[in-house]
Amino acid sequence: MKNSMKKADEILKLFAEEMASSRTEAFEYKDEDQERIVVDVKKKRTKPALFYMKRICIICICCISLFVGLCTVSTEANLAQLFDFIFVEKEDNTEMVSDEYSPNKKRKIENMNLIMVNDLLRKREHEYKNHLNTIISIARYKKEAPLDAIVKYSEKLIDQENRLVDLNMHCNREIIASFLQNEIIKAEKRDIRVEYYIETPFPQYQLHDYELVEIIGNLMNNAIEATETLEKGKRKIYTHIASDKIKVSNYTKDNSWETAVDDIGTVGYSSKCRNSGFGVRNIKDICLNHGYDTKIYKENEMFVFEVSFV
Amino acid sequence: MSEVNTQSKSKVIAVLYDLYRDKMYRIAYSIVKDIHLADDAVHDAILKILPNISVDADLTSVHMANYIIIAVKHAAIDIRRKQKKDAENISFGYEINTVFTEADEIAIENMKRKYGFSDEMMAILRKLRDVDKDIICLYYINGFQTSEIASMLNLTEVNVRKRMSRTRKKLAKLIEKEESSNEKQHEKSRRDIETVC
Repeated sequence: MKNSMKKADEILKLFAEEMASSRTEAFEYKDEDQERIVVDVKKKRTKPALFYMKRICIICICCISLFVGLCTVSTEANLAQLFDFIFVEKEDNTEMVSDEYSPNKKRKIENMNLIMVNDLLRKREHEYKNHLNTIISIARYKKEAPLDAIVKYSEKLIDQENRLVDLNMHCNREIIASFLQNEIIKAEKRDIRVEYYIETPFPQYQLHDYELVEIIGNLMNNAIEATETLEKGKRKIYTHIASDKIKVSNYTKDNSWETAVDDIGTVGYSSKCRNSGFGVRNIKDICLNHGYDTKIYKENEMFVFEVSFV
Repeated sequence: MSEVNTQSKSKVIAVLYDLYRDKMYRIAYSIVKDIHLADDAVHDAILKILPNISVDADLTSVHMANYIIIAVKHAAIDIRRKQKKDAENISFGYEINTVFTEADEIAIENMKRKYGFSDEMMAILRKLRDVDKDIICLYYINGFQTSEIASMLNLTEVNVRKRMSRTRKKLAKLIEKEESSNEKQHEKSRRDIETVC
């Protein structure tokens, strides 16, 4: 029996070792995006080779068809074949590109949304503790009228909390609500007032969450950048999210954009500095894919960008 | 894996947090399903782990990772227990349960592939409860005494010993049975050879 007990111990030790390594592996964090990027890079490397091969094929076919054409005078069929070949190749290319990148992009934006919601929750939890600490220290250490100070501080807090709750009540789509909240906080840091109207229940668009975030994000960012340099009374952004339209209005420094309405949305055109000019282009692309209209116009001396779903 | 030698306890905490915070947080969250409670569970686990780690321990080793996983799992389960009085029927997160079960199943399959253990042996290992598996890991890999394991897993020392001896006896019985059947087979084949001769 002693012998078998020893053997049992050995088996259990082996089992424990195996369990430890497999459990540790199971809880290792796998960065799938990184793997995906590696795969994408590999694919990209093979692209030029394919591209040149195709070009060489086309040139060969051209030469052969010319030669055959000269010989047999039946070049029309060959040219049609050549045309078909080029046309089909182009279609294949576009499909490959869209299949390859869109899921990755979608997943990245969805992950960003989750991180944002998580950050917002943590931030609020952190602030909540800070506020409690402030109230406690007022009660302990403020000698003159501590009650008044606590009431004042709490009223300010309630006002701010109400605004947060208000947005969540208006927008029952958590991702959009948290995203808007983030944008509003960003604007408020720059002393810009954001007013919003959101239809309830939240409108059902034929857009993915990530597309909606891109549209609202670009519009809000542009509006924030345009208004942050204005005088105090004009630092306002109006956001209107309804089933028939998404509209963001803001004041601008001058009306120079009116002369360049047609240029807005072309890649490279920007009223700002370098690394810009893609925001409106992206919005236009999304709208074009879904058959929606975009409008830029002036209303009550404000610059208005509207995405129309009608 | 490179060894991380730490100079003092405070550095141990920093390195532990750096290496395992995300992992611990994910495990705790999938059990308690609450960000604040998950934070508490991680802190509780670190407090329990600290006295048992020497300053020159290799914090990146598989053994250490396994110990930390077990510690945080049980810290989170304790918090859930405190919240829900129904201690016996605690069913922690489906996701985490699946990860543990799958990892243990891989370990059992590896055992079979590497050492050629019988199906009966595999069945005994498969039937082990999660607590038993944790006790085995802490005892055989990390080298803790039964009293230390008991305090870590919130069990009595007698309970830990009983659980250990039950598993060992089951395996020992099976080993004896297998050995005797092997001997019988060997004897039979020897007799067959003698009769033929």
